[in-house]
Amino acid sequence: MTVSATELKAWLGHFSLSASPSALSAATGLNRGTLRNQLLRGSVAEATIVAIARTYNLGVVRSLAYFTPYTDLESRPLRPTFQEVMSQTHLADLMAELQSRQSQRHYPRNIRNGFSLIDLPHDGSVRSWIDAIDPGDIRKLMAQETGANVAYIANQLSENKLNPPLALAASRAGGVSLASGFVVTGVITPDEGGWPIRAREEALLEAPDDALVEIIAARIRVLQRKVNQRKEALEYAQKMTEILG
Amino acid sequence: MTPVLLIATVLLAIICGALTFRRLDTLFTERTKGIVVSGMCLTMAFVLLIPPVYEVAERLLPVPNATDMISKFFALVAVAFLGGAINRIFPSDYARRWVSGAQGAIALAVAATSVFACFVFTDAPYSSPQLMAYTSQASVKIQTWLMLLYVAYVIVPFVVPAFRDSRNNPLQMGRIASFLLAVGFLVSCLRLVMYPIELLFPNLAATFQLISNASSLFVVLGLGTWRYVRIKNIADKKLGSSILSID
Repeated sequence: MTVSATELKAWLGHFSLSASPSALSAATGLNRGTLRNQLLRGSVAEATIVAIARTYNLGVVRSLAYFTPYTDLESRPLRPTFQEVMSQTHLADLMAELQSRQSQRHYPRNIRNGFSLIDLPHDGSVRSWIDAIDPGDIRKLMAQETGANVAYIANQLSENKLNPPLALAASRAGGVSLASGFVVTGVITPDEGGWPIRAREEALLEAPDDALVEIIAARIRVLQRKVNQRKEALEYAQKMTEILG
Repeated sequence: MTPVLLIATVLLAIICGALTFRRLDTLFTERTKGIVVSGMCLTMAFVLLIPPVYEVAERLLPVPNATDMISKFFALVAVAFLGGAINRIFPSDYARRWVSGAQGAIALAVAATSVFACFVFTDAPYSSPQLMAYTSQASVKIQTWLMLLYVAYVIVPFVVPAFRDSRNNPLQMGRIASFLLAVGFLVSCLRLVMYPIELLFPNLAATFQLISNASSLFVVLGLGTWRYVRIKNIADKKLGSSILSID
């Protein structure tokens, strides 16, 4: 989904900013041709709004909330839940925390000083988020709200992405901050989405043992499936090359 | 033989021969021997149809146009071996029961005998590769139909799996190779279906023969692409590395 170019012009006018593609391109660094096409077509990508809001310090979430599809974006508290934050922590970081808890002597926590956690979105993070906020029928609810096919949603998740309307629908269905979907899909940064600084680091440290182990086990199962799929793909390709090559 | 058909035949003989030559080293050692034998037979089938070769062969054989008959036998054997090899990739109950093994051999024998019978009943006193000068005779029409029927009989179970593989193969080059194979198989099957229409235009027999040449080219290029995948070790390069690394 996109937002209306008319609304974009009104929004820019509200801040006395020029709506010309050249001026916007010079300010934001976005491609001028792309901007012109979006304005001519009458539909502007969310990423364009985000880029303009960042350039002029207009508040990314507040700026998106100006536009019709996202007017209720700030209607819920922005702070993410513990499950959401943990879902956006990479398995390698979770494992590092597990190792530190098991033996400070062999895996001292301070050995990672100076290293940040793996950035999101990372491989499988969008699906992890969906699983973390799923009340039981989230895909169906997302499909109902957006009119998208459930198979299309599954396909998007397997590619580790969700378009903005689906991300918003997922947030709504999961009962979490409506900006969360934009954060986990990388449209906006965690900071812009109202996530506390070092939210993931603190959640990692505070996670109870059982929650940590449960999350790791779930991620390992996903990883095991991926590794098996890769192994099967390799064996299939090797068999074909052996017989036909 | 029309100039276009002649060029197509020579081109196919060169491509097929070159790609088969690159596989000869695997004839006795690897699982590709079915493809190698198929490639050798197909190359021979096309080489024999090149007019100078045809003329030389005709001088050595006692019956006029026996060279065309031998070429057709080579083509039938090539298709049989190809079917056997492809069956190992895309196995199906139909293919296992009717294309490979004893049933497949019987089908080949029946097809070859029928094609030979047609040849016996053809009045072809002068040399003419692919019997292009005699396409108005009923026996030649039946012979062509039998050739098309046998090819379709062998490859029809592989059309859908090949198209499916052209979408699902984990390697991009694999998808391209399977697509080429699938198109070749489909064109061959379509020619059989459209054959009654061809009969209405006996003067265009050479043009319709180009369709079969095109389908052969697709299959040969598809197999050539698989050979490239193997030589370049693309499967191991693309899928053999660890997927755990995120660096």
